[in-house]
Amino acid sequence: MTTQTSNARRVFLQRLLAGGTAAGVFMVYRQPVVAALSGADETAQAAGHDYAFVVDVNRCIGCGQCVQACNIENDVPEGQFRTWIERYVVTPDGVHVDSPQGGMYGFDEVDEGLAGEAINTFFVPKLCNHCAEAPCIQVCPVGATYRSPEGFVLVDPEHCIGCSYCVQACPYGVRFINSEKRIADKCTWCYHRVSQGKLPACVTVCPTQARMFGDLNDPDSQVARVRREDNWDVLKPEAHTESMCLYLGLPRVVV
Amino acid sequence: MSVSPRSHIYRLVVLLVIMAAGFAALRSLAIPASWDNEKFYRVDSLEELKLQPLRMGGNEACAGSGCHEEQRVVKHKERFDTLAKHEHSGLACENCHGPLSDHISDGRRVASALINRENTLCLGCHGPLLSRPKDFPQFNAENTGHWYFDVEITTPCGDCHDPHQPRHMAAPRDTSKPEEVSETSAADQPHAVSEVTQ
Repeated sequence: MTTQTSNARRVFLQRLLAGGTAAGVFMVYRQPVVAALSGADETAQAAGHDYAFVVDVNRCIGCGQCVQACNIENDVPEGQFRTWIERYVVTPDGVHVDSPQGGMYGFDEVDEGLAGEAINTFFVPKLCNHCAEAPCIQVCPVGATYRSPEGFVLVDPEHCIGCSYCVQACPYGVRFINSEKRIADKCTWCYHRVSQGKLPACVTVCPTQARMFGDLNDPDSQVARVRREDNWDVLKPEAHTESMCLYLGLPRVVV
Repeated sequence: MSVSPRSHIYRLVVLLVIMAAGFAALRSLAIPASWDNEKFYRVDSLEELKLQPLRMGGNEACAGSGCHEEQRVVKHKERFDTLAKHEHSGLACENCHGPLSDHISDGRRVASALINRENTLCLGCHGPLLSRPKDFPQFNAENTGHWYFDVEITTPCGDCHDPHQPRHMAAPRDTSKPEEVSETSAADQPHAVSEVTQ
């Protein structure tokens, strides 16, 4: 009787140890295990396209061609912008940023007083970062915004109710309510062009190749090389949005 | 005939069935067809968004189309070849000549491509700005050529620079008479019209 009891306890403890170890191993390696069990979702994306955008701040001349092309291509209402150019003037007293008309028609020279104090000054093109962990998608109450399998964060114009939660959620301020359609609008990386094998309009017209677009799954593409080899940054890394818009030569003052 | 003692239960069941049917009907109306419950979006919208018409063509639309490679518009072919070999080779045709959709619509030419000879076009990129990269060529009245010829920022750039090969100084253009139309008549070569109108 006594032997039996002690055996049962031993068996119980052995099983507890084995089960605990298994649970521990599973928790450490959970992600690959879940992925393997739930089918080849990640592999499907790896086999298709995974697009990314690169902006080289050192090359931007602030001519505004990209903004003009974008507004023409996407029929963006006057005074609203899916992409825009900011001019930073860094002085000892602070950082001055301006973007007259989104930089669409270029820039006038910096005020003389400010120019005298400037330590550094440069142009920064901005656009939707097509985040892998996009806050705008999380907040949409009706599922009208989503990330396509190729990595485009898009707005479903039929389904959007124009509540503008996403406009508030975007840490980069790239979303707006289209004043004519009354729904959320944003840069699509020219999804309609890319699906036809063309480049986004802004990339097409950039005279200094400050904007680059391509497929990360193609190891020879410019963006894949930049991501692999260059010293790139993303805007607001602290937001943990997994931004897919990589900036080269991005000074630290840029927000 | 007395009322069934369970009639209140039956009534409740009927009410519940009606409510469930109503909910199911509303739900099916509210959820669009092709809704992906897992990813939480309307899959059809991907195809719908692809239908947006193109406005900008890109250089491949001009150089690869055949329109500008025919012999009768040999001038354009030459422009492409020159452009490809010089400093402006990275530019898009549409940077200076306007969006393709203003020129071609439904495969037909609707208007001549824009020819802008204003200084503002050149200065949009080459105007001197403090914020531009230092190695980017910007207008400078003090540089040797400009200083020698008394060039100011208002002097038409096209007087000396050919935008298709900007470092090659062209002979100053005589603007008093229109350029000659070559061989064939203007009606034959619609593009030549835009060449004459300045």
